[in-house]
Amino acid sequence: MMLPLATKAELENHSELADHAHGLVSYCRRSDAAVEVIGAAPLVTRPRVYNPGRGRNIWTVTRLEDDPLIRKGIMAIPSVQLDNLKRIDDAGVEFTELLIAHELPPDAIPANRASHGWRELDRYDLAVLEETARVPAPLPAVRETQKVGDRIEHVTRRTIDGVSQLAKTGETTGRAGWKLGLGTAAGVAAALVALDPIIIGTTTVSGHPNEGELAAHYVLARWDW
Amino acid sequence: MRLDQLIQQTTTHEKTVVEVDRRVTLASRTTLGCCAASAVIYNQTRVDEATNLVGFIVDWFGFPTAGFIYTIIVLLVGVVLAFISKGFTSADQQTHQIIVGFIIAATVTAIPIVVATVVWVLFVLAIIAMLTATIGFAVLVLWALTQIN
Repeated sequence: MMLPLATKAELENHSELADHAHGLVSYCRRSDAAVEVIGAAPLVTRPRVYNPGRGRNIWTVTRLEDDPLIRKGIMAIPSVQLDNLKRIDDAGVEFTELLIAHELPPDAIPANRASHGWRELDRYDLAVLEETARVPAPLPAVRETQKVGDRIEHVTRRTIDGVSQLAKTGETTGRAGWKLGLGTAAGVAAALVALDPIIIGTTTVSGHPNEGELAAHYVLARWDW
Repeated sequence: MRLDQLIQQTTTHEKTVVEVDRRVTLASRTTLGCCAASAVIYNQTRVDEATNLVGFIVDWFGFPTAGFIYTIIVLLVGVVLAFISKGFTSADQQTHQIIVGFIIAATVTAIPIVVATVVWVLFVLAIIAMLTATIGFAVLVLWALTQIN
């Protein structure tokens, strides 16, 4: 699901902002950095949440300094996206404000407090997010450790089966292995709970991060955990 | 927050420490223990002159000092890995690969002991079989003599 943060139509209605946005993208492209224009919308500097309803994933949008992962000092970005951010920084591009959006399961914020559409996040919501915020394990590492575990279990089972001919021993080992496999699968599923972060750059005509001022929004990095 | 500050405060996701599979943890700890036991055995046997096949195998097929040094190196690597990964429970992707390499290397250290033990067991079984056959043959001869008289 896409985050309805800004529209291209709104951007094209403001020629000065649109010219600046297209110029910025071209400049980044020459510097081998990928920047994509989302569109224009009033600048959001206070933490907000977007709830599309119908049990679909919600989105939180905050300034980088308000992000729970960054505040906890546990932010991790895949190397490809991190390299792109470094290229943008090396190119000397200045953004008025940097935001981060997180796609989260619908129950990430208690249901009775989540109304449909956009609303501001209060201190309670932020405390809940900060408490539960975590970076999922990188999937290649999870898969690798699971694969090695499977091989060790396979070899051990073969050895046990070969040494002892007792059928009961083999059955017990099989059950334990099945339970371990289920546990690992649950771990992988849990690692996917946090989805689709997007790092967003914004520029305003005034160059100041005034709440509500029309700003061009750019995707600087996005990835699936 | 500026972009350079974000980059400074961020780690590469691939380097994030993850929980090691419980089976890998168990195998690592077991092989570390086996490696320590092997080092003690090789330290004891390398000073003795091998006079039989079992001793020759335990002496790394005639290279006892090389085998002992290899075992000590693997043991030290295992101890360092155990320290880094908090008892083989958490590691990043690279450390995890080193742990897998350690399991294989540590298993190799135990091979001469396992082979020697198998040879020794087979030898003992052969002795028992020969004794049984000898006693049986003697009983048969005695029985035959009693039949003649």
